[in-house]
Parts: sequence; structure tokens; C-alpha cells
Amino acid sequence: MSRLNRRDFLKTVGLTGTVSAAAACRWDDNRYITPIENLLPYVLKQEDQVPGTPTFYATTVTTGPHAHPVNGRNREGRVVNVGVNPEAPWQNGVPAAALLGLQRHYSPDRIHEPTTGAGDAATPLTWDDAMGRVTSAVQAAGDKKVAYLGPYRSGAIVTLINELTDGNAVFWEPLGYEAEADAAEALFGQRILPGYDLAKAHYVLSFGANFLSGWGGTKLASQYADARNPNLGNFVARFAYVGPHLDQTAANSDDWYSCSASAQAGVALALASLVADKKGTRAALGSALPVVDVAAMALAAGLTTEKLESIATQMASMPSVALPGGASGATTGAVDLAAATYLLNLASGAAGVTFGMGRHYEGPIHGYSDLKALQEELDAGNVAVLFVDDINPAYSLPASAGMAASLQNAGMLVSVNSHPDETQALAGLTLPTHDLFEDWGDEIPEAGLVLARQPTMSPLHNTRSLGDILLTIGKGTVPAVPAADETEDGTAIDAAVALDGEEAVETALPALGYTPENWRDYLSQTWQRSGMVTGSDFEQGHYQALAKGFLEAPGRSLTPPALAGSHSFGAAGAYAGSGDVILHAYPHPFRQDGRFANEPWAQEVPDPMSGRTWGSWGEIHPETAASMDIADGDLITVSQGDVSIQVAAELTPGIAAGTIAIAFGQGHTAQGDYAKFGANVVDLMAATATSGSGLAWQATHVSISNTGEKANVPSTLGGDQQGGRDLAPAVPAAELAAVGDSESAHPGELTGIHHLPRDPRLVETGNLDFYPVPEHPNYRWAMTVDTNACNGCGICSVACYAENNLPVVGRQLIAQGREMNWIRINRYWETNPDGSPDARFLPMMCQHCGHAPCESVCPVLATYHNIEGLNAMVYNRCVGTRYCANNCPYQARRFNFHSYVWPEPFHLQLNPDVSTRQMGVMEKCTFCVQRTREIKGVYRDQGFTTKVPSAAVEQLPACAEACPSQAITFGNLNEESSKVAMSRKSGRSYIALDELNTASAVNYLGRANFHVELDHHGAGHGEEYGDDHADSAHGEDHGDAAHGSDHVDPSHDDAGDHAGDHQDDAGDNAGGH
Amino acid sequence: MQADFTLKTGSVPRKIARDLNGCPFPLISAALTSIIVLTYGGLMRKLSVVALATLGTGFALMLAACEPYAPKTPEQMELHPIAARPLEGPQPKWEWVDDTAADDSATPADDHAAEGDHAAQGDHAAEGGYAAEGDHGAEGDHDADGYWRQIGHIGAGAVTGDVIDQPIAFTHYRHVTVLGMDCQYCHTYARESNYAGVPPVEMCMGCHAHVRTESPEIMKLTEFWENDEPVPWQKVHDLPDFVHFAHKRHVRAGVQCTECHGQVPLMGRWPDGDPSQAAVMVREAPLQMGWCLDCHAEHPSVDENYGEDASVRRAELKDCWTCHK
Repeated sequence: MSRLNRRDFLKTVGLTGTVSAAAACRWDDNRYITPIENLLPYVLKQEDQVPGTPTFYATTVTTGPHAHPVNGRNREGRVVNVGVNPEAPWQNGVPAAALLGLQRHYSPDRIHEPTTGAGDAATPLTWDDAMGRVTSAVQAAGDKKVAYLGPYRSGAIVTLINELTDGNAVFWEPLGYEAEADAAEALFGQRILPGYDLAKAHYVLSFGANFLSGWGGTKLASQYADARNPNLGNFVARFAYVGPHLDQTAANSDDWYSCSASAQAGVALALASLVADKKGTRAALGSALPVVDVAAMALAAGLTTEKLESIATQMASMPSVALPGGASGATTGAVDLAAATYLLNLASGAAGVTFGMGRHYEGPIHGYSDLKALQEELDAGNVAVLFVDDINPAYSLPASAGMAASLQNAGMLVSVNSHPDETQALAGLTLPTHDLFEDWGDEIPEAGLVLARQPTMSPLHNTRSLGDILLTIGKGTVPAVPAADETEDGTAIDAAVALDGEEAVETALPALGYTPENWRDYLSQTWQRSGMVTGSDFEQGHYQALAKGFLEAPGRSLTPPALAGSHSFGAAGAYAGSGDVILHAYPHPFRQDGRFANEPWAQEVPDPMSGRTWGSWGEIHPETAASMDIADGDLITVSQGDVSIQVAAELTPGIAAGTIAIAFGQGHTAQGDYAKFGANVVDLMAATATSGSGLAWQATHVSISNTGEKANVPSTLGGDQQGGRDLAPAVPAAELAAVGDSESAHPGELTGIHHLPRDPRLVETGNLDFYPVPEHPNYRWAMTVDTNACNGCGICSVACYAENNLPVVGRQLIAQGREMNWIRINRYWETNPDGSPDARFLPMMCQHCGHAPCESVCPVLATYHNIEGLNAMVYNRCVGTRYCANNCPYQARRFNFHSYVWPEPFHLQLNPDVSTRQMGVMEKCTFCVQRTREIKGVYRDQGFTTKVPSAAVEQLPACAEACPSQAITFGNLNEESSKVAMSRKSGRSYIALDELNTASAVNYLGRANFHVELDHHGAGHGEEYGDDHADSAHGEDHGDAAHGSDHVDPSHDDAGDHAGDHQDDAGDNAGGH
Repeated sequence: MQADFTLKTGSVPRKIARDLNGCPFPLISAALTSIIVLTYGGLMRKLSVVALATLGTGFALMLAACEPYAPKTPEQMELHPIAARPLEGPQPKWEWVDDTAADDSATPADDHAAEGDHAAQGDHAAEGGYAAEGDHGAEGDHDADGYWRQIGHIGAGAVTGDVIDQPIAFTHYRHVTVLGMDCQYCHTYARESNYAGVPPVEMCMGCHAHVRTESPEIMKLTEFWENDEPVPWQKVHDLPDFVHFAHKRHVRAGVQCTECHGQVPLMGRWPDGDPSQAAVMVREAPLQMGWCLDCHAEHPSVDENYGEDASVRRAELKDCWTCHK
């Protein structure tokens, strides 16, 4: 008899009102049933894919004329991260362009298919249709021109473009290198970009080029770190900067000679003259070096002759190098500045040592004048088809250039771009291209070196390679190429592959001497003809080159450029426009000229100097601000004529009075939703040409007024001051150069840090630690951060976002203090004894304390100290009390106030080795535990008890790998010879907030400073801190904060600085200690 | 108060109390309230109490009218139609465990050995041991009398013993037991990677382009192959996404596939040659954290592989971040 049993009856009665929520999983008498997932095998066996194990593809990322060898990390068919290529000819970390390019690759705004029209009016086309249209237009061009406008490109594609357009190709970039190329053409007779080797320079003089965050490629940042490293050659390079604004690069300078951008050329020329006299090289320079009035030049720059003499003396007495101005020095006299720095380098004998190492970039560098010539042709109606490739003149050029209108005068404007932008929005036809992670290609950053690009994954969308598009058009027939097939998961099969089986069509390209079937074929034939692939078997050599990522010509020439002409110097740069404030526009470390503005990481990761996110800000000097009644964070209007933009006021000592500095690259209108923040500084400018072929970016006067409102451009920095906590101490450079990081009798003595005394009674009785000292039988993972090598670029933070699936929370939540970065750069302003501002950068992340304050307060043991010394965080246990974050003196913990969602297809970039966290869970730096886990597995495969040697993990965490300066070193503290263990014995080693006895796993190395002297009171503090507090001199140095009361003063407890009043729990935090 | 426990003698309340897991307090307090109100309360209160009492009595009578509760036998369980079919070979067995008997949890493995089902795989005691922890179920399973315990090669507890519909009635039995193929012939990466790997359709077709091409199941496979589609297998062994599990670590340590995956060599047989009756794959182990940790704490391979470092390795294996990612 089927009746209800009593148990079910009670259940029914009890649950009647509450059963409705149980839809997701079924509760049965005996089991939970979770949703059943599919387990889909491959259809075809993948030769180079092992599920669960990454495959690395060596490829190449470009920024302007610079190419960076990188490795794409592919998991299960999608590239999830970009790392260094260990085989590469040089090691330079991971450039921001690679990581931001990775996010760009997965951007939801990418163009998915060929379209006619753009934006909302876009109509999808098939590839057959689109290619038919463009091919017909090219064939019907007749007397009119087929032209190309694109970014700097080198390698095989340049030949192809020139052949197709009959030489009507313009390779131009905003914020480009025209001035340097113009000057090289005048002085050396070659239109090249000379190379630099900063590693050998003892004195680096910069006129504004952001060589630590973009200009010259990250290779220069890496070399500069070597020059600053006291352990390499026993010297610390001194960095002097002449210019008006301390951007992230210039903020690293030891000496700042503040002068306006227009006076830089005169200073450079005066220095060249002085150095030539001191070194006796004037005769060799001959008439190329004009006679200048040094005193007048110094006066014009607001400097003194003595200062110039001092610079010249240093440059003449040691290996030195002078760097030109880049976009920051691009006044109307930009070519003068570049030529003067070249002359200065020749005068100081840098040629062949640090300058012009024969590693020239020889690709085409076209200038604004070439662009204007193209514009005239467009306006005259002489261009039948114009291809615009991955640059954005409609956004990057001032409105007065009229480029947007001229582009539409082309018979057919074809955008060959993978992403929408303001220029693509004007295009009549859009042929979406593969991006750098999907395409084949090559780059020639230096003569004789070819960096190879290969796909790191199959294309995400229905796109084609630019090379294939051009070849198909060149073949002159409406293509028989089938439209790329959609596979079941929505990805398209590579068009190049689809072409493979096709019968080669008779080529319409002239004089190639071979018949390329497709772009990849063209590329490999180009390599074959270059003769750079050595060995008898081309196929094998070709594959080896692809595997390691580059081809190097045997015995390539390294001759430095020789003087072969002269440059006639003109007047100093001129500023135009009404207003009494000089506008100084500079390239942003992440967004550059604006090409990465739509990448959420480029907006979310704080600007290194201001800490500001998601918007535009103008940096002004506090004195200037005070005279205009402007406070930090005010919304100000910057206007020129009838054009005005609104930015946040950022008060900083790092700028000349009467100047406002605004970064390029914000305020897009058609590049995607993430790029709409802030304002475009170019709107304020007029299109002013330089004396050479370039465009003057520094030629505008503006006026400023306060709107009286507060700007919504949140900063993640909590303050500018260290508050006596000695978080980022300076180390006297001379002493450091002498001893380096050799073992010191008193570790940390060079930092002069006076830690709070520890009670000697507790130390003697062994009761200093309340909790038992943790044991680490195999590994004690630890990290060393060299603040002397760190230049504050912030790429570590971007890399962390990429590796650890950190959510992007957006402007409003950052304003609420809810950002999620696991590693951040704290920037502090100090004042040198001579009164000049001194920026200190301190990368701050979880310190993985031995006695972690966070652990003891967790009610559910969600965070604990593990056997390898890591402060582990178990998300499944966390109940979200946030006690741990309140108790963390380093403010390294981040709370998920929401369950964040990755808009598709950003989610494809998620690292499968790291959980995504949900609302209510605390998270923080894990020292990239997934990577240690992986490499432990690799070594355990060789033998169960085989330990990972520290040498194999020094750059293991994502931040350490990405750092171009190798400022972050990782290792096993148990291994006495490891770098982390050795660094703890250095005279400049210190632990942040050591007085809290957190037994931190991170030690920092102090930053070299040429202005401070050794504080002898600091010696000996490394022992037991006992004798320290009796030292009265110490109290004078550091104020009362250094003594006992500091310990209970909450404002001194958060190293973060940042979070004290910033993370959402400000009140709790202040009471935390 | 003790005096009121005379209620214990009443049969219906006692049964209710038993079904409430032995908690008589609601009844006691209800009775006390009634007595107090009836003695001292006003008319309306009395009426309301009478109404409540009537409802309560009705409730109790309805409850009494129900059958006494007993956990379902396997036959009564609403299993999947395929699963409901008897399996060949070692059958899943169920036994009634009397809670009043001596503590049986100490020697679950012995219980199993006694059953003799796994004599051939005697070293599988550990697996049986996990399966024997049958008290993960609902609280109510701890009724006074006892509970049903699942033994044999289908796991128990919160683990599904369900047979899940698969697109093809693949038979591990034929491939492994009859033909003698090694697991890693098809699950290629078990020794090399985190994932063991499911064979690509191409690999199946490597043989089945020639072997048994006329079988209806192989024709299904051929259809997938010709349509260039993957076989949409349903996941049986599925770990949560926050778990890092490396097959290669376990395989290289010497853990047998069957220790976690169960008697796969015997699965997927076709009773009476009828593939529609096959149980393609059944999860036997709970795959829950406690089960993982038990093995990490006890598995003999650690001692064999690490020698005197075994205790350190055991400590490492206990660490949350060994598996949680």
C-alpha cells in the first residue's frame, strides 16, 4: 500500500513554505546531485596541446618601432598569459603592451566580421563579398592611387604593403620618433633610430623621453636597472633629468634640472659644447657643433652656468649617455633637441659605448609631413582606396589638422584593424584583422635581427591576417577563399589554414620571383631568401627559429653611426594660444598614445605617479594651485580658445610652476565603453608642425579655472608621506656602490632605519613571540624587492591582474576603496637636502608573515601559515568577517564586496589554475602558489624528494616575471645560497614595519640616493634593537614617531598608507591596533 | 517537571518523539501550556486551546496513520531507468545496520572483505572503507533502529551511485578486461599532466574504422566522427573548479586508477548483449574532501616514495593549498 511515511509527512508539513528555493540541486535521501557537465574530447588529436599543461609559443609584441620577444602561455587552446621568452636575445620582462594586448585580444569590442559602415550602422558582409568590393575598387583605381596608412612596421609586411600600394604607404604613429629620425638623417645621413646601451652608462641624462615606460622599449628599463645595480661593476648610475615634469620615468632621476620644454634644446646644445671642450672632441665634431652662448642658454632655461658645468663635468668624466625628449620634448624645436643630444653623445664619447651601438632601427619612420602629403592627395580626390591599419589619426591628431574630413575624401576608406576606434568608425569598409596573438609576422627591431611572430591560439573571430588580405587583393581576383568556417564553439578556423589547399592563383604582384600561396608562405619564403636561416635544411631551421622566437644574422654589423652631416639649429620651441599656463602632454605608461585606453586593466591599475584611475587628471604644482585656489581632487576646466576639457587637479611637487601636465590617451568616443573616461588632451592643441617632419605636442598655452566641484577620478594612494615609518628609505649611493649587496656585519645598516626597540627581557627569555615559531622543513618561500631597481612602472600590478584572475571593479567601487589589486605601488614624496622632490616607489603585497596578524584573528581558520611559509587563504572557509584585513598592517588584503563578472569573452583569459572568487570572500597575494605548485611538480617528476632550487624560481611569480628591472626576486629562504637569503644580509636590507615582529617573508632593499649621507647612528641596529632607542640623535632624525608611542598610533600602522582611510573599513582599520 | 514524563508512556507521542529524533520537548511544552491554560485561563483562552488541541490531535492522528519510517531499499529508490537494471558481475549490496549494535565503523574494511565481493582486488580495502562510511546522509538516517548501508562497488553516502546516460554505451569491460588494454592507452596524459585526457574521436576511429563497424554503438561513434563533432560524454568524476588535482602526481606516486575510479575494468558490460542496459560509468568514491584527506594521511605510497621524508610529505599533503587553488 502506497502511503506517505511519517518522516515524509513531517518533512512535507515543515517544508511546505520553504521548498521553492531548492531548484539548483536536488536533495534526495541518499545523495546530492550537482549539475552534470559535458566532458568533450577533441575530435582530432592535438599535436602540441596537453590538456592541463600549458604550451608556450614564442612570439613578438611591438610598441612603435620596438619589438619585444615574449612567450604566449596557452592552456587548452587559448592564450591565458604572456611571459618572458627565456631563449630571447635579451631579457626585459613583459612589456605593458603585451599584457594589455592580451586583454585587448579578448576584448568584447573587437570587430567580429567584415562590415560595411561602422558603429550602429554597420552591416555584416561575408569575406567573399568584402574582398570582392575592395579588390574591384583597387582594380578600378586607374590613375588614382591606392594608399596605406599604418603604424611603424618592419619586416616582410612592409615590402608587401609597398608593392601593393606602389610605394604610397605612410608608416606613422602619434607620439612617434620623427624628430629622432630627422636628426639622425641630418647628422648621420641615415634615417634610422640609433640604439642605446644604458647598462654601461654611469651617468644618464634625459630630456624627457619616457625610456622606463615605453620610449625605446622595455629593454632600456632593463638596462637602466643594470646600471643602477651596485653589484654589477660597482657603480650606481646617476640619472639627471632636464625638463618641466616628473613623469614616472623622470621621477626616478637623482637630479632634476627644472626647465621648460622649449629650453631643453638650448641646454643640450650648451652641454654638448661644454663637454666637447672638456673631452677635446670639438675638432672631431667640426662644424656640426655650432658655437653657443652657454650663459644665455642657461639663463633661458632658468638654470645657472654652474649647474650646466656640473653636468658637463660629470658627463665628461665617466661613461655617460644623453637621451632625447620623445613626445615630452616635442616642441616646435624637437629636431634641434634630438640633434643636440646626438651631438652631446658624440662629444662625450658615448658613441660605440652607450650610444648608437649599431643596433639601429631601420624600418620606415614617416612623419606628420608625409601624413599631410597624403592628406593633400586625399583632398584632391587622388586616392581611390586608402587602407588604414591600426592607427587612429581621427583621434590622435588635433581637430585643426582636419584629418577626419580628409579621410572621408578617399574613394574607399578601408579599415584593416582588429578593434574599433574613431578612424574605423569613418571607414566605408572594415576588414577585421587577426591581432598579434593570432597572426604570423616578423619584426626587425635592429638590423640583422628578426623577431618572429606566430599565432598563440586560433583566431577568436571571423578575421583574417593583414598579409592574406593584401595578397588576395594583389592576386587581382575575387578570391575563391571560403569564408572562415565557424566551428561549434564559435571560433573561426584560421583563414590562412583554409587557404592552404587552394591552388595558387597567378600572382599580379610584380617581381616577387615566387608565388606565395598565403601570408605565412610569403613570410617563410622571405626568411628563406634573407639567408638568415642557417643550415642546409630550411624547414628545420625555420621551425627552430619559430620555437625560439627569433633569427639572428651571423656576424651582424655593430658599427656606431658616424657623423656625416650637420643640422642647422633654429629658434627655441614656441608656444601659442591664449592662457598663462603651459600645457605639457605626456604619454601614459599603460595607455601610451591612447591605443590601450579601452583595456580595463589600463584604466583600473593606478597611474604610478598620481594613483588615479578611470579618468584624466592634470598635474599642477601646489604653489600654482594655491594661486588659483585649486585643491587636490578639484574638477578643473582647462581651456584653450573656445575648447575646454575637464580634468581632476593632482597637486604634485614634481612639476614646474605654471605648467599643467595631462596624459595622452583618454576620452575616446568610439573605441569602446572602457575608453570613454577622461578627456582627450589633444583637443586643446592646434596642429603645429615642428621644424622637421613631426608634430609639436608641446606648443600650447592654456588657462585653468576651478569648477568648484570635486572630480570623480579616484586615487588609490592614501598619502604622499611615509610618516616616519621608514617604509622606503634611501641609501647613500657612494657607500652602496662601494660595498654592493655583499654580506654585511650589520644587515640593514645602510638604510639608517631605527626600528622600535623590542623588549630585551622578552628576547632574552625567548618570549618575544606569543605564538610558536612556525616550522618550514622544505621551503620557506620568500621575496626580495629591490626598491633601487624598481622604477614604479606598475607592470607587476598588471601582470598580477592577468595571472590571478583579479576582477576589475570600476571607478565607483575604487572611489569606495574596493579595488582588488594584490600588488600595488606606493609612491611617497620625500625632499632631498637640496630641497628637490624625491619620489620613492614601494611595491607592496602580502608579506606572508611568519607571525601574521591576520591569522590569529580569523574565526574560521580561513587563513593560516602553511608548511612552506605561505600565508594561505582558503576561500571555501572564508565567511567574510574582514577581521584579517583590519588587522593587516600592510593593508594587503582585498575583500570581494560583490561577485564580479567577466564580460564575455574576457572570461576566456581567466587562468584555469586560479579560482575566481565570489562575494563575501577575502583574497590577497598568494606568491603565485599555482606556479610554485607547478614547478614543484616538474621537479618531483625527477624524483620524489627532489627540491626546487631557488635559482629556478627567482622570477617565478607573475610580478617578478613581468618586471623589466628584475626588482622582484623570489626564492627559498631555507636555501642559504639563494638570492633571497643572501639579500637579507645586505647592508640595505630592511623589512617594512619590522618593529611589529611580523617575521615577514618579504625583505626590501633600500633605494640609492646621491643626496643623503650615511647615518652612522643607524649602524648596529640590525642586532637586537636594544641600544637603539637610547640614541638621542635618532629621535631628532625621525621625530617622535620613532619611539614607543608610535606603536599604538594607528596612523603609523598601515604600510599601505593606502588603505587606512581608503579601504572601505576605514574606521575599523584605524582601530586595528 | 520529571513527573510530566508520564507522557512517555503514551504511544502516539512517543512515536512522534521518535520521528523527531527523540526530542519530546515540543510535546512536553505543548502539554504543559495546555494544562496551565485549562486550569487558569479564561473562556477565550480555553476555546483557543481547545481549537489548537483539536488541530494537534488531528496532526498526531494523521502522523500515526502514516507508515513507520524506514529508509528505502535500493529497489524502492527512484533510480535512473538504466541504473535500475541489475548489473552483471558484482552486484551492489545493501545491508541494514542496527544502530543499537556495537560500533561498526571501526572495521568497515573487514566487513567488506567478509563480503568477498572484491576478493580479486583485495588491496582495495581502502576504497571499500570509504564506501562504508555510509552515515553521511540526512540526519534522519540516524533513526533509533539503524540505517541502510550500501556496500559493494557502488559508493555510499553523499556519493551518487547513479548511472548517467551516456551518448554511447561504451564498455570499459571489453576494452580493459577482455582485450587487456592499458588505461593510459586512451587516457594518454594521466602520467604527464593534470588531466588524464579523454581520447579524441580520432583515436577511437583509429581502430573502429575497421573494428565492429556494423555495431549500432560504433555507428553512433562514426556519425560523430563524420560530423566532425566530439562525443558529448557526461562527466561522472567531477571535482569542483576550486580544486587542483594532478593526475600525474597520483599516477607517478603509484596510486592505482581503480582506487579513485572504482572497478572501471568491470563497468559498461552489456547484459544479454543489450547495450541499452549498460551502466557505462559509475562513480564509486565520494570524491569529497574528507575522502581525499584520509588517503593523503594513510596511503602507503607516501612511505614508499619518501622514506624518512614521509612525515614531512604527509604534512604537506595535509596543507589546504595542496589542493585548493
